[in-house]
Amino acid sequence: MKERTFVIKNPAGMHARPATKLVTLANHFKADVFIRYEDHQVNMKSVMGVLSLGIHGGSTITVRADGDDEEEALDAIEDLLRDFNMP
Amino acid sequence: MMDFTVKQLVKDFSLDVVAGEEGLVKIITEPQLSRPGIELAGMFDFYEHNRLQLFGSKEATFFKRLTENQQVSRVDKLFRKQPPAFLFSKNAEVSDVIKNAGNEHGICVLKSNERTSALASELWPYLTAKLAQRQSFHATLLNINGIGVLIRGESGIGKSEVALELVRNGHQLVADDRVDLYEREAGTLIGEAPDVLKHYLEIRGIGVVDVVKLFGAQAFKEDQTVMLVVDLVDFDKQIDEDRLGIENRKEKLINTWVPHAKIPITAARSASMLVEVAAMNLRLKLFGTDMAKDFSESLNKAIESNAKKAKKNKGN
Repeated sequence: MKERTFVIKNPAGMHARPATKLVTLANHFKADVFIRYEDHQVNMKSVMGVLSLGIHGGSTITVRADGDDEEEALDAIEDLLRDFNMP
Repeated sequence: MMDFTVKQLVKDFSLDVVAGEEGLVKIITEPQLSRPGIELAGMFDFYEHNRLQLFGSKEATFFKRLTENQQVSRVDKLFRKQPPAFLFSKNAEVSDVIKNAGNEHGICVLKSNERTSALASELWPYLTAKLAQRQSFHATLLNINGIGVLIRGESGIGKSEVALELVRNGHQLVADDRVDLYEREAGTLIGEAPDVLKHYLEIRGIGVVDVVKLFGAQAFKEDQTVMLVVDLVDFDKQIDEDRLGIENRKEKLINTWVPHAKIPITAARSASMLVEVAAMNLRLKLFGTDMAKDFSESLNKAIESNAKKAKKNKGN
């Protein structure tokens, strides 16, 4: 199991488009992927789960991956967040 | 595409062939009509001889006022250019000069029971539909509460089964397996079944089913505007789909852009219900309600209020 922490830089926060991209990406991996924001942790493979968090710009999130390809999953998620100007 | 002949027009509009029966095999290529009043007056510079020539009582009455010489020479000029046919409306009298010219040149002189304006307004959509380029698609077309839904997908994915279930639920079948599409005008895509397949669905394990016999006359519609394309696809986690439906994706068919939805199928998902809801969703959008957009907006409000809360906490 591995974890990484990111600060969401984009002032708009995790709105619908980046969130769906992120969930689609998470679904590419076998590992279970979770995202934690404040007191809530949700499955990152579920769109409505991730959106329910209402992650705002400037906040800190923790992504946790658990499975054979956990390392690749976290790398890919980090890249995507950077593309969105998120971390 | 099959050539569209005068004979077909005569049949569909129940016209009388007054003269020039040889001309029944002539081909109509233009959807527009010509009303050759100005030519009867002697000016042939703009004679649209490729078009169907329509005589109303105006043209016919004016013709009677010409001298016999003028009548013969102008009618000869009209026929010599070999237009597809001459059509006389209800109150337009066909003079012998014209009948003779029809027989001589082998061009049909036709008579209708309808008045000129009614005839002209019916002929335009009829001819554009008949003459439009048709393209066949491997798909199924249904009318779901007024929304024409074209269902595509690989063979065996269950397009016909979806159609059967929707028809059983009161929707209308237009075409199954092969849909012929044409543009009635730019941006309006019409689909219909090829003649042999009309009313029929082919269901694996049952065979060919006539929906009109099975469910009654309301189960079939002759043609329908395509307003939504739905692709049924095998469920695949990695597919790049529009999960929230916020993208308003479109697909180009012939030259028309049509809203497009991709629906993954699994054993647990009722494909016909999903197609029905996709149609309802589009209907709502046409009424001005975009559910995905509403959701996205309320999400943005939630993010904003979270950001404010966080700011406040920092301040404390």
